[in-house]
Order: sequence, then C-alpha cells, then structure tokens
Amino acid sequence: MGLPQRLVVVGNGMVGQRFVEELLARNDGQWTVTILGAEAVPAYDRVALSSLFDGATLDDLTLGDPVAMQGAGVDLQLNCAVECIDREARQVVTADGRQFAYDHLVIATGSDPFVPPIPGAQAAGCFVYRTVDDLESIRQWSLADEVTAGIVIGGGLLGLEAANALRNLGVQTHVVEMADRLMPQQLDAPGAAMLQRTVEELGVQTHVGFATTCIENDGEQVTGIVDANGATISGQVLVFSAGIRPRDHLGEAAGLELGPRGGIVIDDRCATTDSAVSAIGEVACHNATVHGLVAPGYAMARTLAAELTGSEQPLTLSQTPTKLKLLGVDVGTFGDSTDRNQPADIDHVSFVDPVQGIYRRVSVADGLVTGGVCVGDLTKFDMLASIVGQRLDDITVTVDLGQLVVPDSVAAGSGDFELPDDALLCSCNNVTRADVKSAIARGVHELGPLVACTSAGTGCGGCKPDLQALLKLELDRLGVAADPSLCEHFSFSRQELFDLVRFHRHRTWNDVLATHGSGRGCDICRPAIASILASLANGYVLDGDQGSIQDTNDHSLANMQRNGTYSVVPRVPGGEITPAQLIALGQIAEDFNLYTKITGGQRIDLFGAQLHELPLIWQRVLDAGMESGHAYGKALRTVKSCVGTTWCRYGVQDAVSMAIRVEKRYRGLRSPHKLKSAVSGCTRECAEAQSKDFGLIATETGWNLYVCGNGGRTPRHADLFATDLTDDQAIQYLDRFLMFYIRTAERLQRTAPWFEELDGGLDYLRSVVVDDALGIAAELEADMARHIDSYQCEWEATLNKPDRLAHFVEFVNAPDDHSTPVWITQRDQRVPSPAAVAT
Amino acid sequence: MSLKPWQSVCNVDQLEPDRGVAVLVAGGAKKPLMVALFRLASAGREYAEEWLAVDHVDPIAFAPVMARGLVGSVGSTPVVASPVNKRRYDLRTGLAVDGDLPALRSWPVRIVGSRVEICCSAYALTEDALA
Repeated sequence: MGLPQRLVVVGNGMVGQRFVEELLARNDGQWTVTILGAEAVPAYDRVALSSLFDGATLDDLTLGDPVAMQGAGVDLQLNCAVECIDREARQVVTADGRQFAYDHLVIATGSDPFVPPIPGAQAAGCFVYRTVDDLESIRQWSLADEVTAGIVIGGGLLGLEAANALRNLGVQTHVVEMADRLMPQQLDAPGAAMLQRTVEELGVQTHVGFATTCIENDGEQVTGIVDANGATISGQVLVFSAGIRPRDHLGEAAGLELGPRGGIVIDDRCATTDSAVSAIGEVACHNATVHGLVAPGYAMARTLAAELTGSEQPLTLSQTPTKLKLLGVDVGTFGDSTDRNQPADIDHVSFVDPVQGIYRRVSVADGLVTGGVCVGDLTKFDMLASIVGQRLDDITVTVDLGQLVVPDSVAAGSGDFELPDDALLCSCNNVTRADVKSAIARGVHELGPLVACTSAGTGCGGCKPDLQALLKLELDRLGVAADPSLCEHFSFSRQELFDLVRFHRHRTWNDVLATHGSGRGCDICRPAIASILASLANGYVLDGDQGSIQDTNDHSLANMQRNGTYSVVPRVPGGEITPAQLIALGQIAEDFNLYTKITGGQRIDLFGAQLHELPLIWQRVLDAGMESGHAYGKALRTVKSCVGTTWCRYGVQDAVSMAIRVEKRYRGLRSPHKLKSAVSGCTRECAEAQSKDFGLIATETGWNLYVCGNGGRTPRHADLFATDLTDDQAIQYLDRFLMFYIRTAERLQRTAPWFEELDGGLDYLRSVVVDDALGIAAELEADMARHIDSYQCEWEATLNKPDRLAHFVEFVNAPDDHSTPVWITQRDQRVPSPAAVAT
Repeated sequence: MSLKPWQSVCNVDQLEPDRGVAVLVAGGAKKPLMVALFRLASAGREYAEEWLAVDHVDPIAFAPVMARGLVGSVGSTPVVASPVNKRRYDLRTGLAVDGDLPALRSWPVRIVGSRVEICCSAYALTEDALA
C-alpha cells in the first residue's frame, strides 16, 4: 500500500457526516480525511430540528462522536465555507483564503431553502428553515409580545416540521400549501386528508389550494399574506418551506455538469464528470433526480465509502421506503406512493378509520404491488414496503393484502375495552374478572398456572381467549408485559421472524441478522433462524453460512451425549425393519463398539461414536439401504405403528403402510420442536397415537385424526380433530396442520402447549385446517409440497460431497489424534464412566 | 524445556466464520492441551472479525466439546455456549457469563500471514503441568 491519499469533504451535514463514518469503518489507512463545514457547529440531525423547541438541546442532535473522529485522524474545520474548487490544481480555496489540496474531493453541501419570488418576501420577520441559526433567529423574533400568529408557506415535509417548530414556540400556526393537499409529493388525496385532519386537531390551521401572491407588511415587519382570490391570513412571523434547491454553485463554477433542474450530475458510483470529484446528498443529481430525503443521501454515502475503499456497491435509489413522524403523526410511503407512473385502472386495497385518524393504502397494477401510503399507523409497514415490485400470485409471496393493510390494532379483534370487575369470566366455574385479576396480582403470570389456580377455562374452555386477553392487559398494566422477543438480538417473536424470512425470501443467516437483528446472535436465535430457513426448504442445512447457526447436533448430524461422543439413529419408517438391516446394524455396532438400545419410537439407537467415526458409520448405514433418522434435529422423528390388518386379528386398517407413508412424507421436516407421530390399526390403540403430536387411529371406514398430544413432562391427551377420513384426506389435513404449526408456534414449543395457547382452541384450528377460514390452505400445502420435493437424506448429501466432511475431524492440526473418553463395561456393553475426565 | 510461546496450529481458511475447531497445542504436561479456537465473523459496523481461543474441555461436564458450541454475544461480549449444558463463557476471558461457575482458560491468538498461532504463556503451562 502506498502513502495515504488526501480526501477532502466539503460540507458537514447529515450525509457528509455519514459518509465519513462509513469511510472510517472501512478505511485501512489509505485515506486522510479533512472536512470543511460552513456552519459553526459539527453535524447535527437536521430532520429533528424542531425538537430544539421541545426540550432537546443541540448536544442531543449532534451526530457522530467528535472524539472518535479526532482519534481516527479526521481534521474537522468548522466556520470554513469553501469559496471555489480548482480542479486543475486539485485544491479547494476557503472564504478566508486557505487552500486544501486533495487527491479526491467529495461535495456534500446539501441544499438551500427555496424562497419563491413573492412581492414582500424581504420584509423583516420572514425566515427560512434550514439551520440551527435559522431556528435561533425564528425563536428570537417570536419572543416579542406582538408575535401571536405565524405562517408557514409550504405544506410539504419541511413545512410541517417548521409548523411544529412554530407551534412549540406557542404561536398560533398556519400552514399554507399551493397544491390541493398536504405533502403532495408523497401522499394521495385521502392520505393527505387524514393527515390534515389530525394536524388540525393538534391546533395547526391548514390552508390547501392557497397560492400566496403577496406578503403584506406595515412598512417594516411582516403582517400577513394574501392569495389570488384575495383571502388573507395574518401573522407576524413567516417561514418559507417551499422546497429546496441544490447548493451546487461550487460545482457549477468548477465546470461540473449540472442536472436539468440543478444538482451536480453523478453516476451509479457517485462520480461527477471529474473522476477525482464525487457528490452526495441533496447537492447531487442522480438519474435526473435530486433527492430531498435523508435515506437516499445515506445510500449515496455508503456507495461512495465502498467505492473509495476498493469495493463496489452501485447506487440503487428506486423505491426507498420512507417513515416519518410529522407533528406526532406517523406517515410512511413506499414505492410509487402517489400512483404517478401507474395506469389509470390501478386497484387500491385500503383501510380508512377517520375516528382514529388511520389511512392505509396499497396499489396493485397487473398483479404487481406498486406502492402505497400509511398515515396514522405504521404496523406491518416494513412488510408492505418489502413486497413492492413482487407478483402477488408468486408462490413464495402469496399474501393476503387485506390482512397486511388492516392495522394490527384492528386485526387483533376485540380491542382493549374493559368490563366491570364483577363480570363473570368463566361461567362454567363461576370465576369473575376480579378473581383472575387478584391471582395475577399475586404473581401468577402465565396462562397454564392461571388456569390451574382460578379454575377458569377448565370447563368448556370457551373463555380461554378472554382469559388470555385479560392476562395480557393486566401484565401490561403491571409493567411486566410478556416480552415476545426471541432474545436480546431479535425483538421479534418466532412467528414474526418466520413471516419476515418468508416475505423477504432470506436465504442466509447474515441477511436475517443484518436486516432484523443486532449483535452476533446467540445459541437461542441462531438455531431458531436455522430452523425457519430449513422449514422453508433452504437446501442442505450446512451450506452457505447456515453451518454457523446450527445447534451442535444439527451441525454434526448426530446427537451429542454427556461425554462428547455421539449417537446414531437410522430411520426405521413405521418401525418396520428387515432382518438383513437388523444384522447390518448389529455388525456396525460391533465393529465400532457402540452401545445399542431400542428407542421408544421403534428405532435403534447406537451410542458412543466419536466425531471422526460418524461419516464411516453412516456410510455403512447407507450401504445397508437405510437413511438418516433426523434424531439430531428439531424435526419429524418417528411414526410408530402396530401391525394392523397385516397380522393382527383385530386390525381394521393397514396401519404399517399408513405409518410408512406418513413418515416418508414428512421425514426431514424441520419445525419449532421435535414432532412425534403414531398410527394404530384399531381402537385398541397399541401404537399410543393419542400421546403424539399427531396420530391416526383406524376406524371401520377410515382414520380418526388426533392432534396436539404429548407424553413427556406434561402429558396431554390428543384432541380428536376429524373422523373417518380417507388416506388422502388425512394427508391433506396433516399437510395443513403441520405447516400452520410450523408457521405460528414459538421457539421450542411442542404442539400441545401451542394448542393450549391458540385463541379459539379446537374450533379455530378446525376452521383454519378444514374450512380454510384464513384462505391459506393452498399456501400451506404448497409449502409442504416444496419441502417434500426438496427432501434429501442429509447423510447421503454429506457423504456425496467430500468438502462437507471437513468438520468431522476432532483436531484440525492432528487429524489422526483423538481424545479418549473413559469407558466402563455395564451388562456387556460399553458406556461412559460415571465420573470421567477425557484426556 | 524449550517451548515456543507462539505455536502455529492451522490455516486461516480451515475455520468457518462463527464456528470453532479444536486443536492440539504442546503444553507443559506430557499430553498436549486441547484448545478450542474460534473465528468470529465481522458483523455490520459494530463488530470486527475476532480470533479467540479457550480450553476445549467443558469445565463442568469434563467433556472435550467447547469448540463445537454455538458462538454469539451477550451485550458486546463474545461468548460460546457449551453444547453439553448450554452454559455460556466469555470468549475473551474464559469466565462464565451465567454466574459464579468454573471458568475456561483463554489463550492469545494471532494471525501471521495465512496461519493461525496460539500462545501458551509459561504461567498457564505451569498450571497445566501441575494439574
């Protein structure tokens, strides 16, 4: 690497500052940075300027860390306006005559407020709204007693910000806008109307379609404005926010090409017509457009920082979603929000609630989402913004737009209205809301224990949703709101993350972490994301960066035991195994000295394999015609069966064939927790299907389907879900049921507790799976079909590619050395020593 | 005894980002030390790539498994979770994150060209020899 090159940045606004931070994060000593800022203070958050009148200080708004910048060798010159650029000599000259030589120059001078040519605009009391100094001037002026009303000319983004500033100063505020609505660049008419309504409720008077023709004064000071129709508004302070103009005079004087309406022309790498000069932010003109929002400016900052440090990240600025808070009102726009470039017959999916001031609209043209607007409620905004440009009938983005457009507060249903304390909550057991509240106050904060100690919900169960809602309400009130966050790195529930991964079509951990998370992740979120990616048929589970998020067992495709060795479990579908396979397994166990045990799921578990032995053992298992049993994954484990009509005198259906069909259909299916199943050939239920996540019990005419049972620590009898199904019907319901569970359950939540927490219980589950009440049945089946089509035995996939075997080595620098666990012999088999230290 | 303080153990590209490997390092005792070596990926603007090494043997389960644990962060502290009992250890210091529990020893790591080197200080080696 040669000597460091000199980088000079003209302008220390939000974009200039962000650029320097982005550069420092990548700079490897190849640049020394000098910043020339015209203002007296370092970069601050211009977007939040009005908060200075609402308690914030300039320190609160200051961007970046001046000390860290100094530490990184950045030379920040304030009060240092640049006079001209000498491209030939590669230097800039400041107003006070200093010269700064550059190897590369970045122009980030931003923009000037546009003052429309209206007679009287020079009167005292007229201001622009751009800098801290502007705000201070407005404040000083407005302190005078005679200043009681103020006028903002321009009802766009900045105008509303300026109105907020005046309002915070205690001045009766008017906003006038020439167009027929507020924020004409971003909002459609209904959205603007909703915003206008809310803004007026806050005490700001708005006047749209008001073309100011004259600014009146008393000879010195402003007194009001007049429009083309002669209407007048009086005010003693006036702020222009009628748009911005790029501050491109330096570039113009230096002979750089300008855009049709100003702005220094840049390409996708932020280069101007001089390759040694770049421009970013509001001073730049990209694709004939000058962008007046901060997000595109930040995108340019990132692109240029990458460009100058040797990587490429070409600029893409189309459809940057924008979220704003104007006078406390949330406003979001995405895509072509005003339908400007769309055909006339465009479809709108919208939700309007004038009472709460909510308006949400999505546009669809030719089956393609083109853009939309949200006012007053930004729930699910990111999801809406992410489907712009996607085809609605695309199998991977099939969404119910209606569901996305309706705000969460409405979609959640009943709302939070309160019934009196003596109202009955559970009529079966005569439990009042007061009884439940007092239990919650005593510290019972989970649904299960709450049911147990109040008896509410133990009768017909119809009150469970009310019970859950009351619990949530009370917990919120007590400030111990159940936090649905997965862990400290993701503030989403598993269900939300599943939806996000599905909508955004994420394929890598880094993508998910960078887009939705923070930090380095952990042993909770990594496997949870791994499971979600795998459930969405993401290919071999250790490919790409997925290897780094798989739990130990999934990573080694075997189950780690207490002494660090592994167990091996081949799949035995339905528990049916040939004598030859039994002999082969026995031979393998003898050859590798493995402890052998029959499992509860009608399989054979081989214990005591060391990491480096796993590929050798599995090759032998595959050679015997068997495959991975996925015992190491949160996935379908086993489908037990009895012998059914094949042998049994009582059997009424072929349980073994059905069990094999079910097991082979869902093998390898990753889910929130393990899945167990069983098929019984008659009502004697020898396969114990009612203690499984899903089970089938034969009837004379078909199958009874049971769901959400469990053995283990908290046994639960499965519920009878549907009766007398044909084979194919049973499979169809199972496809839907399993995918619905996978989508909506929390991390490590078995089907039984998932069911317990399901609002509406069995009836609701039936309505989703059988009656398709949510309209997602086809989607669920398609997701399952994709899983089935992409299934591969993970051990076969591993052994077929030698590079996938690299991590089955115990010590990378000594492949032939192995640790030696301490074994003892018990009942003729090798087991770990009870108090063993490996050496 | 002439032990080199810095021992070259493997190539940089033998480690997947955010995953560990076990290596054998000559120690003061007769048997080599089992060391778990981790390569933490850079993440966004927050985190740079980091190479860290701790004992490979879990101090509670006494099984040689730490290199096979999942890595992550608690606040800004890089951690590894034991695959046997999920207890988490600060990868920089080896101390347990979840309370007053036995700790792992941590070992300095450096990258020299394309090779990874681990340092076994005399103190640590003595301690190992005495153990």
